[in-house]
Amino acid sequence: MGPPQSEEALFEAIAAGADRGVLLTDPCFAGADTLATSHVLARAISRLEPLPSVVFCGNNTTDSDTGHVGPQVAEELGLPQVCGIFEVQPESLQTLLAKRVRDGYLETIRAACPVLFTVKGVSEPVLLPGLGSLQSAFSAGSIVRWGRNELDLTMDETGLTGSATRVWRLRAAPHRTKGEILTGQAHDLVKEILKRLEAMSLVEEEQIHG
Amino acid sequence: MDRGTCLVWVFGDYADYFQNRVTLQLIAKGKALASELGTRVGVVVLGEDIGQYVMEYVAHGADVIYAADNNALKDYDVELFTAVAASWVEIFRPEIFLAGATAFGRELFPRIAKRLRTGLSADCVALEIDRETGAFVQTTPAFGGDLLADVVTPVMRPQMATVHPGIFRELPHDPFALAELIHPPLPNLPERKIEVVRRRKEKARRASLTDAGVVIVGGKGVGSRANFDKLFQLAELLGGEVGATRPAVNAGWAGEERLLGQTGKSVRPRLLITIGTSGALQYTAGIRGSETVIAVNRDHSAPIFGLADLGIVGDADRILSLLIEELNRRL
Repeated sequence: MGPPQSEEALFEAIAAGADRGVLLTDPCFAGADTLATSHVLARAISRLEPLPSVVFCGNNTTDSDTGHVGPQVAEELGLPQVCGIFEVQPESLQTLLAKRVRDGYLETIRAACPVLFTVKGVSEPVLLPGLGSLQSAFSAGSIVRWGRNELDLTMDETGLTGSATRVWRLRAAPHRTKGEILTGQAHDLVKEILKRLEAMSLVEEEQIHG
Repeated sequence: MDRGTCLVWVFGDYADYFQNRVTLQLIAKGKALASELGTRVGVVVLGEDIGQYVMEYVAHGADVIYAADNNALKDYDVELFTAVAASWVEIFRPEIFLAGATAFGRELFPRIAKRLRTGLSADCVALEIDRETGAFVQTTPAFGGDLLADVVTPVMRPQMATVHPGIFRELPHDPFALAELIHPPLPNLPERKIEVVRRRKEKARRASLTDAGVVIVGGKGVGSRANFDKLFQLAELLGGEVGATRPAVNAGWAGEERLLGQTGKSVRPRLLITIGTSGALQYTAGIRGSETVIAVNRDHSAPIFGLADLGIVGDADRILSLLIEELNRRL
C-alpha cells in the first residue's frame, strides 16, 4: 500500500522471485494510522485468489516504525501471528517451524497454516535481483492496482477518517547538547557510568553492605 | 477502601520479571494519570500461579487487580490474552490502557486495539493529560527520532499506548499497600494455534547488531587490538553487541560486518557506549537513532560529546577495564 511510485518496490519483488504484485493505491488511503492501514491490507489479502497459507510482513516500516500493522492484519483476518522470526521452514503439509530470538531466548515455534509472520533480522543474505531480471519484471506487466472501489471500502474506513489516532502536533526532539561532560578520577567516572546503567535497569543497584 | 472508578489500566507483563521493570514503571505513571482524572489505576494480570506478581504490583501502587489465574493462560499467547483483555475492556470500559513496549507488549497491544477498533500509539516516551483540553497526549518519536509526535485518540476508547521501558520511575515497594482484587469472568478461550516447541537461553546467536538493545562501539582511540577485545567482554556483560568505526575496522580490530556509519550499519539501541571515537559525521550518521549515548574520549573537545547524554573525559582503556571489573564484581 502506498502512492503510485511505490510500484517500484513491487517490480523489485517480482525481479527477486515474486510471481505477481498488487499495488494498493488510492488518494484516500493517505494519512492512515495502523488501524486504517491494516484494514486496507487485510481486505486486499482476503481478496487474493487463492487465499494465502502464509502471510509475511516486515517488522516495521521506516516512516512511522510502530510494528503494529502485522499483528493488526492478522487480527482482522483471524490468523495466528508469530512476530520477529528470522527463519522458517515447512515441517509438514500443514505446519511450519519458525525461529526467533525473544528476551534472550532462541525459540522454535510450530505454527499451523494459515498464519502470519513478521520477519526481523534474517540471517541469510538477501539475493538482490540482477539488471536482467529487473528488466523482465518491468516488461512482464504482472502488477495490478487496487483502490478503494476495487476493495469495496467506504471513505470512512480509510485514510485519516478511518484512523482512531490523530497526530496533534509535531515538534523537534530536544537536542542532545545538554548532556553532562565529566572529568575526574577514573573510579568516580566509572561510578557515574554505573549510575546510568542502574537507572536503565541494565545492572542491579549496588547492595548496601553492613 | 475507596471503591471509585478504575479507568486507567496497565497490562501486567511479568516476563523476565527481575530485568523487566516496565510494568512497575507504568503503574507509577498510571497512578499519576489516574489521580489527575480522579480515578484509580488497575493492573490486568493473566497467567497461572500469578500471586507473586499480583503482590508485587499491589506493593508498587496498583489500586485494583483484574486477575485470571488459570491453567489455560499458563504461557503467554497473543490470541488467548487478546480474547481475555478485550472482553474485560468491554465490561469495565477503561479510558486508558498502557503496556510496556516489550516483545510481548508490541505483539499483544496492536491486536487488542484492533479488536476494540481503537487507537494505539507505539513506544511512547512521554504521557500526559493536557491541562487545557483534557486530552491524553501520547508522545512518540517520529522520523527516526528527530521529531516528537504528540498523538491523541479523540473518540475511541480506551486510549492505548505502549511505552518504552526506563522512561518512568517505579514507586518504592510498600509491603502494607492494599488493593481491590477482581476476578472478572473469562470469555470462551480460542484454542492455541502457536506452540513453542523449544526454548533455550541463547548466547551464540544473539540479537544482531542492528537489533541489539545495547551497543558498545570502539574507535581508533581504543588503542590496540587487545584493548578492543575488552569491548566484547563489556558487551557480553551488558547483553549487547559490538560495533566499530572505520579506523578500528581498518586497523583489523573488528570485521567489516561491525562497521557503523554511512558506509556501514545504522543502529538504534536503548544504550550506546562509544569509546575512543572522535565523532566524525561518517560514523555518527549510523548512531543517531540511539536513545542514550555514553561517550568516553580523552579529548574533551571531541565532537562526539555534542551527541552524548553522558560524556566521560578519560583514558579509554582505563575506563573500560574498571567498568568491566566493577560489573564482574556485581554479577
